Amino acid sequence: MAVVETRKLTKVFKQGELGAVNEVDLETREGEFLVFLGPSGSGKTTLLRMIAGLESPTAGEILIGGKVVNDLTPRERRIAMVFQSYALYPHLTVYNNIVFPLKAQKVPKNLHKEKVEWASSLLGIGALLQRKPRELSGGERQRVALARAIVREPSVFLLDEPLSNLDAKLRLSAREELERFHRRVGTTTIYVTHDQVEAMAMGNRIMVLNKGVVRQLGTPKEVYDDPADTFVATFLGSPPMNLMEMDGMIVGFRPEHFRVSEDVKESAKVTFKFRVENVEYLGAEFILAGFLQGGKTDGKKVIARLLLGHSFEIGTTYDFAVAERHLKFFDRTTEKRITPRNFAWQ
Amino acid sequence: MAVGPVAKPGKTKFKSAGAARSPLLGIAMFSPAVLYIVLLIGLPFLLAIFYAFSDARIGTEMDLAHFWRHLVGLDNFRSILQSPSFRAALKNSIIFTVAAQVIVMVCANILSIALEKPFRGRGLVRFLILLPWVAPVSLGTIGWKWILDSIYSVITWALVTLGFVNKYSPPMWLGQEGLAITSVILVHCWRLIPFSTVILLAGRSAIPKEIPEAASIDGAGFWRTLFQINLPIMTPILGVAILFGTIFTFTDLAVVNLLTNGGPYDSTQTLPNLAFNQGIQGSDLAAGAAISVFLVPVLVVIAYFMLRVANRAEVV
Amino acid sequence: MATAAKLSATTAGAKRPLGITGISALLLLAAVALLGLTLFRHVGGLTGVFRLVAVLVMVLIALGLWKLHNAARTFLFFLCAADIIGCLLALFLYALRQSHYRLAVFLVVQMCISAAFIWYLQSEGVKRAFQNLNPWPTTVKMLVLTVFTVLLAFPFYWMVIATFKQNIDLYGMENNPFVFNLPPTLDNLRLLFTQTRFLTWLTNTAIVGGIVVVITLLLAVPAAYALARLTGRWGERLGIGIFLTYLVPPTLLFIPLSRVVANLGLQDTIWSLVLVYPSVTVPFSIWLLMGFFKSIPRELEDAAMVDGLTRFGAFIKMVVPISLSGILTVVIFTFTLVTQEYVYALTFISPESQQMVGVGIPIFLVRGDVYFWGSLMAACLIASLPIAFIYNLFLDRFIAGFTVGAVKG
Repeated sequence: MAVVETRKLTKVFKQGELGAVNEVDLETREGEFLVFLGPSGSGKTTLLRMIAGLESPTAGEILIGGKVVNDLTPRERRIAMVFQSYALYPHLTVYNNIVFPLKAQKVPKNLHKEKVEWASSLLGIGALLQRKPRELSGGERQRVALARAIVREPSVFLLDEPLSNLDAKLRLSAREELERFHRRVGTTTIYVTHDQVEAMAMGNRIMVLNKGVVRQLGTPKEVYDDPADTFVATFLGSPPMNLMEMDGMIVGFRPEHFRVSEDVKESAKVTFKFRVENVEYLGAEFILAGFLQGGKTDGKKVIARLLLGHSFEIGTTYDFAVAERHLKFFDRTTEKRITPRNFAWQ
Repeated sequence: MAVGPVAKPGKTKFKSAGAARSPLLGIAMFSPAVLYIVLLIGLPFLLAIFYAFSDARIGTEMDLAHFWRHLVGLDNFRSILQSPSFRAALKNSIIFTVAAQVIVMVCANILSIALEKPFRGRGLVRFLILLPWVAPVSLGTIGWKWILDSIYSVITWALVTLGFVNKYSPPMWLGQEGLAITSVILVHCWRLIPFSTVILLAGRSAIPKEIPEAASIDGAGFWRTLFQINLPIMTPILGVAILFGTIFTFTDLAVVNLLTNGGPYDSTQTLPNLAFNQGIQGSDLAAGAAISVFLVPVLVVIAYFMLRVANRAEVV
Repeated sequence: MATAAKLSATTAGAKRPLGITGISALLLLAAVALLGLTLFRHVGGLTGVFRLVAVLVMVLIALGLWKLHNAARTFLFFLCAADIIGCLLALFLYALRQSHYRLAVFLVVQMCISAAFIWYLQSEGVKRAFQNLNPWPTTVKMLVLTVFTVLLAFPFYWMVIATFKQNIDLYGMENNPFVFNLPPTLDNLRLLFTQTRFLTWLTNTAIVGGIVVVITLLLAVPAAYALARLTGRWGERLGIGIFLTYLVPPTLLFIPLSRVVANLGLQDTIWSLVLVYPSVTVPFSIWLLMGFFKSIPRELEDAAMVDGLTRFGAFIKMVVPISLSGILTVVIFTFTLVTQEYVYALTFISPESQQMVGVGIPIFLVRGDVYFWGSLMAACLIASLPIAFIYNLFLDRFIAGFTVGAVKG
């Protein structure tokens, strides 16, 4: 079990262009499940691959367990990685897939069987040992990949979007299995994904990346309730946070905080006239889209997310409100979060 | 939502691809080709076997209406099996093919590893490396005939200049038994290495990039990854390369015919060349056919392995 | 943006080791010196060209090193490694054997210098300046490629030189065969075109090639389509059967076919080949095109048929135009096969005026025992290079045809 640290880690693919990863500083905690979250091209996979040793950094340092590992090959770093496609060796049986790292690291032969049985029982794949990868289902392949990773008892696990190749139904159960696995084994894990739901569900902490730069590092609650900038604010949460420019600032509030005025019990609240243009009934909730009417906010498009209880008609204007404590303010130029200021809405 | 009227197709005779096979059209379309193949490959094949059991000669008329009158049983086979030329040809055909394949596989693997990752000028290097294969076989062989000439050989000149060889007794590359065999094998390798390299390159690039990466993370070095991961995954492709290479060497006429014509003293004689010498130049069609019939068993074995390979693809 | 600017400044200048600057400077000086020597001593001809190339290479490496481009460092590494290997070979195979001790000492000194360069170029400090990249894999790769390229391509280099060499030069046993010792000449080419039937053979080959291409297309395109689309499981079996006929070699069939050809009265004419060549080209063409047609989605033809075309009409008007690249591949493949063929042309045709280029050159340009090597090489070159060029362009498709069964994409 070890702590992964990077100091000013940078990767530039083409000289003169902006780097894929720019001066990233991070420090994991022992045993935590840290998620790299970001859209494609944000550098999260490149960052992971540099930690693994599959790409060499242009600048900066990588430390594992306190030791600088920049010059070490992947095998010397004592890390294990699960790829998006699982990368199981197609010509070997499950048993031979799992035993392969032991052979490669010259672990004494008499220990092989024992270790493979330990890893496979941990993941419940004991019955599959003689099968070949092409005979396995997606979920089973994930378990084999994990077994192969854990059999070496690495100090860090790296997972590169392992759930993206599974179909939606399978994804949920596979996700649960991963969470259970982490709880049981407790190894420091870094998990890369573009799916913010996965990140929120699984991570102890989430590192939000965009264009190679860390936007925020915090617990799910922190990145959701206290986003550091507009990118984090809109990337997490679906539908995304409503943002509007006013008085030289950007003001935002989440769709679930934009409710019918009489339902907002707080006294410190801001009221709006909301003209509904579209109603989506999703069974458990409504998604309303429409425009604000009157005052400084006239004409701004807003999305609301409400539980059942009211009915809405297209074209009608209703009284909506947001509690003041749910308002977030961002600087217009830097897009970073600033302390709330009092100012007039009307 | 307005829905327009359903259009009635002009020709109600059409069938959708899912529902129907149009068997008549299909048969009409492939019968010319099948007919041609039957007439120009199937029939001659049977004819070759017939000739092997007959007394066919160039110049004598064959009365095909009463073809059984021409049958001579196993006489042809008896006489060729007793001929030392034939025994030499059979032995050489096998030795040349096996030796060439071994050398080619090793070299093609090395070359395909070197060519795998893109680099500047790779196109030009590929073009140069491919020249032996893409140039017509007879012309490349003629080039080698000059390079291996007893007197004017380029290689001899280089060796003489370096002081290895006495210039008054240069090696007879195509005239001495051992050297001639080596020369023929080398020319075959020279032709086949480009072909096999390109096939292996295609196979290498079909391995998903994450597999060698996983191997590297698992702790495997260059050699372990090559022999325990990459090559086993490439087995079908290796099979294809070996099988085609074997056919090209085993059934080749041009290289042997032009370099040595079987000499010296049948030391480089091969089945196809012997069949040509006796069958066409010697006018003994029956003997020629009997000799070339010995190609068939090997081809059958190859065909069997081809089919096996085509059914085993292991890229998961 | 600011970060990017900072990065390029770092890689360009701030971290350059002193030694690298030194080597750069040294190389530039050497280049200038060599350039001066070459120009002032009026060294002409091939040696002059080689020297100028050397100057250019030195300048490029010097600049590359100065700018900390890893390619330059790797190339220098490669040159030093090649130098060491060459010196070792020369030392043990020549200098010591012939007791040329002065030469031996010179070689050893040169090896030490190269070794020093190598040691320096892969030392820690330098490695760090060049983004920690390891030059060994690339160097080994370059060595392998150089060796193989030379071995595989030198006969063609040889052919080019021989084509333009004067006969005295060619047959002079003392002369270096790799360079022109006497000025080059066009005599061999002149001889080839005026005093031999070379042009006739080229024409014959072109005619046969053209007609066989047409026949092959007429037979193979419909058959491949039918097999790919219309006949279900039987289609697959038939397809494999057709591929297997490709494995039946000409060296098995040429004996009975010679008889067939004679009986048809086509002996000694190019029409014998026109009749027989499609048996070589059609099976593989069907196989190639089958794979091609299978990759065209059926919806295209369905859409055409919904629009009113018959199945055959859909084939002609929709599928064929889309498949032009596959058809072009078959055309090229067929043509190259015709020019490469040896067995049937040798067997069926005797008279010189009717022969193909692949047989005419080896058989008829060798008169008696006197080989006109210069013209022979010229003929080989002219007949091979264009074909080689075109074949090379389409090679990837052919390989796809060969490997279709073994690599399911």
